[in-house]
Amino acid sequence: VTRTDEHLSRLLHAAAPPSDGVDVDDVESRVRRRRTVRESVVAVATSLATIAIVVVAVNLGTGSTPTPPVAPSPTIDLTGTVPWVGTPGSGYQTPTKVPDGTVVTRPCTAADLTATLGGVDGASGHLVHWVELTSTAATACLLEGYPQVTATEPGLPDVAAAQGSYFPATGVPTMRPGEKGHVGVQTDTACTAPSPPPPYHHVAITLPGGGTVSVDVPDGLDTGCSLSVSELSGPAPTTPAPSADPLASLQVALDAPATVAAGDTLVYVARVSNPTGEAISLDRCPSYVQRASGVADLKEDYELNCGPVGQIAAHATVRFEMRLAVPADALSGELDLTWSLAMPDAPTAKTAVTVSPAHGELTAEQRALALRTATTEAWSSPPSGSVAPTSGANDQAAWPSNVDQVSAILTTHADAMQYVGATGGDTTPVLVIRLVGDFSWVTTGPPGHGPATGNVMTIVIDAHTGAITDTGLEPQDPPRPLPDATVLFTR
Amino acid sequence: VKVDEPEGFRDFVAARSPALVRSAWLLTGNEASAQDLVQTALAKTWERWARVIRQEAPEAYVRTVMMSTYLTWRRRRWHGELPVATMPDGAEAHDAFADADLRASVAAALRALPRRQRAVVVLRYFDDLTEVQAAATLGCSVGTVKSQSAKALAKLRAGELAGVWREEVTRDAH
Repeated sequence: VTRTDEHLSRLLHAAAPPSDGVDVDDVESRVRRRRTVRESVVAVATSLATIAIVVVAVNLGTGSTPTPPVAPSPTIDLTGTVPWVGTPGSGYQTPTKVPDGTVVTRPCTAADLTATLGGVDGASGHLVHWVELTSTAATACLLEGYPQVTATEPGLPDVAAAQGSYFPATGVPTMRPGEKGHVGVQTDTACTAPSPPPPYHHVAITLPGGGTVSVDVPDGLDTGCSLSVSELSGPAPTTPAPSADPLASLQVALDAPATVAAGDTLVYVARVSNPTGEAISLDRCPSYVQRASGVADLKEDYELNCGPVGQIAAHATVRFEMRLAVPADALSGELDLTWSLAMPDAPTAKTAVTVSPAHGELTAEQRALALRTATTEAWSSPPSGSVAPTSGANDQAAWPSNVDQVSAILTTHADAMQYVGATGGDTTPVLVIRLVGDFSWVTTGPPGHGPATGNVMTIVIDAHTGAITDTGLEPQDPPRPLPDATVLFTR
Repeated sequence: VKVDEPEGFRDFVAARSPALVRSAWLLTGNEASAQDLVQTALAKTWERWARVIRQEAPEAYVRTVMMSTYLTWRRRRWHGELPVATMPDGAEAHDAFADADLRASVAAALRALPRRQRAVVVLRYFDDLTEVQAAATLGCSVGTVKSQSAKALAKLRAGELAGVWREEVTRDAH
């Protein structure tokens, strides 16, 4: 325990008021009441089961639907969309040919290139002068292989370079118009030669494809130890090559309703646009992936419904209908939806949809749970002016007479708070049970806390465990009526 | 219905219930709910007293029941009752106003915490339980006790308790 904790500890001890403790007789009367309530609940639960069966039977008998009105999830306009088909996706299929369909075989010649001196690199006694070769040709050519390199200086004998370099070539051979390649002219700075020869200031590079380009080296080359040349290298592959797949040029955006109920199918629209000046064919129909994260975790892939589309014209947009089944047990809250084509550099779009609680009729278990809780609470909340039964005096075999109606809904704890006039809560599924009748709650405590009475009792229970989380008792008007409630009992 | 009082139960209640009510007061912020909570926990313990007493840790058992009751307790809204700072019953003469002020600030600060954090604070800093004991009482992991405790302390320091807390630290420094 740190000093900080000591302070808190002292504050708490100072704040908690002195107490005489509790009276054992109070505890004893509670024990008695617990037993009584438990005994009567067993009797009532049995009779309630009968009532419930009768209610269901009556509903079946009339042939009318017993379900309360169900609010469908909001929808969006699907006019003009390509309908959803739901064919499973088949992953990415690479394009079968390069975009322009040509294969470059022509080696670059001196006429295709201009040479300039680029940078200098050095490492462990080796020095390399990079000569930049820029394509001035109208068509692509290949820059590869070793050139013949000669160092020249007026009044001195030419020095031919050997082939090979400590500095590896890193580019790709294809030189498109305007692209830059390079070649390295390498010298060494340390060797056993007696004295350095005069520097050479000119380099002639004879290309494998024919012709010679030359470049001046202002600070001179020391050819005394060695002179060698690297392989020709085309443009550096670090320059990102434009994606070879025209589908990657597509752009996508999503239109989705703001909310969807758990258990419903989210119907949304993927707007796929072609921003380029040329039509993009959908012959090679792409698959797409829809991912949901947040309150549900899903990943599904389907094939785009390309059939009725064929191609997306230049600057055109096609709207595809999309569907995502939201699990019935999805929590309430934000669902992040990501849609992308199944391919490298995929066009991707995101949106968020709020998942609202599942609606519709309660399951048999949920009804039973709600009924059980309602009876227990009704019995322990007797009509105002009377007292809770303290002995086995309950000969009633049905609902206590103070209950007129019981209804319930399934929602989240956070949503339920409004029905008991409170705030907070989380996404735990709960049943909100509302009893209408005449109730009172006995409170223990100092004088002045009389029994609370009211006509509307609201009980919130955990939908899985049945544990009561919140209750409220209102005189007449509840904080909010329950929407689309399932009526479990009416007198 | 006649219920037989278990042997030793009365003595236990007399000895330990004042402390339990004070813990419960910190949890609930008022005397009536504190009484209600402790009585409920004791009533639940009554029925298992024979087994509880065999394990020789009746207080730990009652505290566990009290905490689980508290954590799942219905938030009953009584008409005419609002959890405001009330003058303490039988306030001592020496500095009744200071006591009432402190009581109100502590109650308000604890009320601002989520239930579980409030429970951790009371177990650790009022009941002086270790993290392991607090975890056992709450039926959660030691890690949860640590994290809930850290969150609660941060919130208390930043919230309504900041003033009195600082005073306490300052007083300590002199």
